[in-house]
Amino acid sequence: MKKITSGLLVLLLSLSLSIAFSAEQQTITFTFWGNPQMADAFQKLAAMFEKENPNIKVDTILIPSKYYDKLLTMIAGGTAPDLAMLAFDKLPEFVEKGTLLPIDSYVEKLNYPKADLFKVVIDSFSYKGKLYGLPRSFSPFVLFYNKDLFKTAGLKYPDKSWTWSEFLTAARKTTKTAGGKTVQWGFAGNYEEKGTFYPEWLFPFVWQNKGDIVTADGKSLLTSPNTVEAIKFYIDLIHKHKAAPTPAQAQTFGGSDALFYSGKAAMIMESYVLVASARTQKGLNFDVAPLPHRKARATVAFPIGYVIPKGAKNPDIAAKFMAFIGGPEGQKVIAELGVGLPGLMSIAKTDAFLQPGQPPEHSYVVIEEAGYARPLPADTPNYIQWYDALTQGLAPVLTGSKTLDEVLPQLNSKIEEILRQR
Amino acid sequence: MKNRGIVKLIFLYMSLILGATLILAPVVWMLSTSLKDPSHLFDFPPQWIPNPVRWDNYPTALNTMNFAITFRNTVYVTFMEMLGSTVSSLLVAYGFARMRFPGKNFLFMLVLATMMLPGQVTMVPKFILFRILGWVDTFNPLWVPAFFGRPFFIFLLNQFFLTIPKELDEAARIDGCGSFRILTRILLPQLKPALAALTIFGFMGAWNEFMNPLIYINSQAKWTLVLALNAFQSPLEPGAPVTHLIMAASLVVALPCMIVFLLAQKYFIEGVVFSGMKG
Repeated sequence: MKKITSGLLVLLLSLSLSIAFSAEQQTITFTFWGNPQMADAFQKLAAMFEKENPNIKVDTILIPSKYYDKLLTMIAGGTAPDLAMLAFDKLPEFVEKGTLLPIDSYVEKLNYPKADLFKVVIDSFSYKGKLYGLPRSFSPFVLFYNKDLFKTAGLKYPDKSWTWSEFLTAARKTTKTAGGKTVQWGFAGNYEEKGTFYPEWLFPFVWQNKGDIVTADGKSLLTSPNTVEAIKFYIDLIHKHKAAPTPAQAQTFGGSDALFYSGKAAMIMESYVLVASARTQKGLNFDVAPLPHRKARATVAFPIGYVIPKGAKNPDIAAKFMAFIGGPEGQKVIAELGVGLPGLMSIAKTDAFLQPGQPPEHSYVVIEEAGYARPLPADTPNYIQWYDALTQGLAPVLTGSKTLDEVLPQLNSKIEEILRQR
Repeated sequence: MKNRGIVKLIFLYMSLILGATLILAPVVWMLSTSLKDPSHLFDFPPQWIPNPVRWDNYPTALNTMNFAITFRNTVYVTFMEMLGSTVSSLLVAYGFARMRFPGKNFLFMLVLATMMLPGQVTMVPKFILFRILGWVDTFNPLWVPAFFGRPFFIFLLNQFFLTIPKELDEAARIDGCGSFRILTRILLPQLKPALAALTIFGFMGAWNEFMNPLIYINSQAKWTLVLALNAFQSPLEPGAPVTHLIMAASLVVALPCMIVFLLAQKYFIEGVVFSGMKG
């Protein structure tokens, strides 16, 4: 009898203990931006993670707009999320403000497949020798082209062999004028909806010509011959060959993307995420090709990833969740969303991302291009300021009110002055 | 003479029609875009009359933004904020306009001075305050402050109080009214146009408030309409175009503002005529 009672007691005790343990649930918060589909994807991933780790709860917080304002307020206000989505170009600023945790030790402890990451992803999320983030996705620039317009012009489709001269020839041959006005351009240029041009689009050309604009140690190469030649090539497309629209022309059509969607431009260089919306355009028969090259192959990429803020209450659990959504399982879910290339090479090569049977036919091109991709130079000193100066300095050249030779010396000394301010 | 009247009328109508067209064109464009098929969003020349007409954009848009929940949240927050800011500002302004007490001018300046502070400056300290109160991710930070007066409303009402002759108060006081009854029985009816203006301001402000809900609300179940409206497409990331859905949702969200304006307009115009001193 005694034995039974004590046995029962032990049972009761262990039961209550196990209840106490399982009740000790820990919650982590995760902030991100995105559309409703993105929110669904992260909720799905959180549910998968919670199933594997029953005593962890993940609160997903979708921030609908002004992402960085809210994130910084949360960090400054003492309610930092445990994990946050971040674009790589914000990384230097956040690290310099002392708001992020380095994650090298976690990556090692959690056996994250770091060797499987694209190099550009590691480069973009490293700062001063330390790794701060794991990838969600990234979107290298590729050449999109309208197959029908190429066929009409009797041209071969662009491929890997293309250099600048083939690109220029094709751009000129697919440009059409009627009554002295251009009605179709060979190249859509790179304008936002309101006709604004951002120099980030210039970087692939500059790098392809083995030039650079500002180096990592803060030197301006704006007036070096290779750089000037590349920028000139781009500007000539607009004003000399008239194969690309001016800002004003692009604006009347609602920007470069709209020009390409409506079949008014045969080619556009855009990040691979354009695929998602290009597919919804009825009557648009498109494919992708590598960017044309010259002295080298190069393209630019915008990686987006996950980081752990310093004020995180549960950094260990956050790291575990980060390795999960940034790892093979999470990357697969993200790959299907069409928000860009997954950061893990093995996942990028699966059908989840390549989606055979849907345009573009040559989707694997983006994986090859990713090998040549470089991030924007966000880690150069005073990046935001010199980038702004460059945007403003080149604006009159794009509109055609000034020539490149007129603005370059002055712009260069302005950028050099910005670089000297530390 | 009669001819001149007609010419004048024609001219008047022409200019009114021109003005109305200019102002209404964007609204018509919104309506048109909201009914378009996504594949026609970038057509050039653009379609003014959508073909095909996609009525289902509206249910899709409303479902995407969880309309039933977000609408309820917005109505709650807007009502509380309007109630709070009107009642509290009325009492405070009454005090400033009619009572005599030491330091009155200084206090009034202080109230006005809070208007000069840009919102960004107080954002983080306010956030920390509400975090300590445990109010993050609740509706409280959105409406409780309204019950402590709004400087702009206080200023506006104060100016209105000053236009009402003090003799009215004095007459009422001789008849045996206390301060509170003077306010509710004598002054309030005179304030109708001012209150109508405040209703419009307050409603539009609270209905369209963006920064506060953005900062304080985390869970989607507590989102207001404006937050949901902003979630269709993240500016940080292009995706498949959803302009048609954004336009449909925006029209629905803007509709109550138009209704409130039309309803309050009657009192608004009465205010121009200036009531009260007629007899």
